[in-house]
Amino acid sequence: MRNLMILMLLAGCAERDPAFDRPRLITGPVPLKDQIAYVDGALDRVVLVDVAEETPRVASVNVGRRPIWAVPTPARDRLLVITRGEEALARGQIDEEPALWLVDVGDPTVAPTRYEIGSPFDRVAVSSDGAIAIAHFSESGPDAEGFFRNPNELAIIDLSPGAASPVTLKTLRSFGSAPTAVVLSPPMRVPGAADASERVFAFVLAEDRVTILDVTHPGAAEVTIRLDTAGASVSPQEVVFAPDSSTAYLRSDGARDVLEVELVSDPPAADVPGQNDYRPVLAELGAGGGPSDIAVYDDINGKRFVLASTPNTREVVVIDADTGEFVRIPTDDPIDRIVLFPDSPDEPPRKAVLASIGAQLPRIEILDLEGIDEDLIPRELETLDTGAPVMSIEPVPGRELALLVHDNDRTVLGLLDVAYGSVSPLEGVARLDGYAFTPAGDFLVAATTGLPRLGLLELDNLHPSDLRLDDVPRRLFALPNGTLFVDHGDPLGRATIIPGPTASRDDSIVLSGFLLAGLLEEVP
Amino acid sequence: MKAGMVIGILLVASGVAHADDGIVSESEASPAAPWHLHAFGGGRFFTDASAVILSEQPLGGGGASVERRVASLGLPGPFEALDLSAELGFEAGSTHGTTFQQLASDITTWQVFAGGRARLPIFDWLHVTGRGAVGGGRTYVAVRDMTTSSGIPDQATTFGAQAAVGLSLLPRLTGAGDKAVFLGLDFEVGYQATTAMSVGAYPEDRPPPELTIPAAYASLGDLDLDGWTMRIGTAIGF
Repeated sequence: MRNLMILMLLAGCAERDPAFDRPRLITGPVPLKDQIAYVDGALDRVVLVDVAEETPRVASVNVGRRPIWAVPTPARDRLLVITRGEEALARGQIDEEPALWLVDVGDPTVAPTRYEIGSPFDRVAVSSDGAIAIAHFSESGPDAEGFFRNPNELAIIDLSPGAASPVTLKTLRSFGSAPTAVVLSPPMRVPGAADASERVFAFVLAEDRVTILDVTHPGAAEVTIRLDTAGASVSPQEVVFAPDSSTAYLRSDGARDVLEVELVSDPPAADVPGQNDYRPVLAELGAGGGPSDIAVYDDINGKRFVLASTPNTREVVVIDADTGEFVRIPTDDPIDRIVLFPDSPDEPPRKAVLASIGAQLPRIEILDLEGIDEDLIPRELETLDTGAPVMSIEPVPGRELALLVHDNDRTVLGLLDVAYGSVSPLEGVARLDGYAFTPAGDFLVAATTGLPRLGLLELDNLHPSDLRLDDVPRRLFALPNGTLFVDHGDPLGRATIIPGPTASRDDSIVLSGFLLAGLLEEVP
Repeated sequence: MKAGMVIGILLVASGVAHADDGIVSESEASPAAPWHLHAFGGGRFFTDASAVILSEQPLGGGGASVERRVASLGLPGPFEALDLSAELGFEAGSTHGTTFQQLASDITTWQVFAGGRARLPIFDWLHVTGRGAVGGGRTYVAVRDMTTSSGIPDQATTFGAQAAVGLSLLPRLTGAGDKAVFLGLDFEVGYQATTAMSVGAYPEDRPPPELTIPAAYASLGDLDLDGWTMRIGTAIGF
């Protein structure tokens, strides 16, 4: 029988490619502009569900072996995928180096751009303009494959089309720690520098240090700032930028103050190649007491303020970012969360909502930001009873509204109207497992994994309505074009696509099996 | 293409006797029985990549057929006659496979076929056969995720053509002449070509369309179950 089977094989029987025996790991869904992306780790492809038109279209883009991480550019028009590559140790395997793939999701017929990143990085950060990416290791560090691994290594990738040598590998100076996060600044100019062009800086956070890199000029040396010179261990957590003044504000656990890092011109010596033309000027802004949250905003005149909450001293500190002057506003509660309203890139915030998430107090405080620059006069805080502990505040985009979550199970909710200072309770039938606000901020759409329906709340009049689904939802997205995309968590691919929050069942469409589309025609 | 060539050669081989002269009386010339009943089992070894994506195992199954001699051609040389028969049969098979360590696939197919068989008795008890047939039936395929039991079954009508050559070991069991009964074994190898089936991702747990949101189903592509066949079975001649 065995000999017969061998004979059959010799006679032309098909043999399966070993790629079809690999484990299947699906990453996603990743919401993009008009598409939702899934990364198929077995077929080494990105599956795109395009919902721009009435009938959804499914397309796939092949990437390298073993995709492990995917992240969209901030504009959500491209997708970056890291592939681990593989070694040819068994039949069907190929030798392939780790790579970063840039997928143009708007045109899946265009082959993705491949960047050889040299090391098996498993995370990537992208600049706000989508021009530069940094591949780095996650906190868990490199995987077990290989011989030597360097957790302080980065790959700086110039994503511009036609870049001559787009990848620069760099190892950061370390004092025993490895990066925990990489944050890229928006493009900003260094005031007074000979090079007046806009550039992107990377702030690499690590235990007791932050490292600054001019990633527009990746050959330049990095600048490392030690944060533990006072002795205590400091863990940087959050960076916000003031690009007009080339300044970053750093909040760290274990630090008493917010660290202001201003990049100022410092012309390099002519005989020292690779030297930077800037240096950081550090200032500790007087938050005191260990800030738990910071928020940065520009007022209507373009003046920048930093708000920092310090629950240990029961204060909120308002810092004039230009002068470093600050005022302390005493609070009744240990504030550890600051949310600015309206939450809009086009409109300066007018109010700050302050909450005590850690203490789970049944009230919030509202700080009026208008006129706060007039001699930095301390403002009165308006206290608002919420009726139940506040566990989370989720602002509605573009509106002075927020969803308040009152319990860990997300079953007790409230809608905060910041302008009127009111909280309207919302009664749901089940746990809020997923929710989204429509891009116009006019609807809250909610889902729970045990119930095959969407809950819709019209935010102008709090009118609730339902849309019955055919399957229970798992993930929910409101895309920029207004389409609601409900993923049902089916490994074979099943989603309900709803044109908008007022659409009916008949207007919607269920897309089934898209993760297996073309499976029988696959050539690994 | 390969399948077409194989079938063509076998059909020509089956029909070459028509060119010869001298149709003789069945009872006088042929040592083989005029009627044969076959029961067989066997497998189909896929030659198309689409099938082995779902299952690396051959399509295993069985069937039965009845064969009636319609002519017996006298031959010059050492062999007395070449029998030409008409045959009608049924067969079914299934296979199971796993893809990506997660997707369980089941493929089931059945078909009825009709065709012709050329039977050349070497001895009374040993015959060389050549067979060609065409037929149609249904093919069912289901792909199921093993972690969630979510499945997408599909089915389609398929048509096919098959050709095979084989040996029949048919010793006489009892009687002689017109009353002889033969019982023995068949063994044959061949090739089956089928029309491809387009597999759609229709979920099995979906309520009727009038109760559901309008749906669009992705296509997995075409499933082609062409393959080399092998049969072993028993036959009764009478």
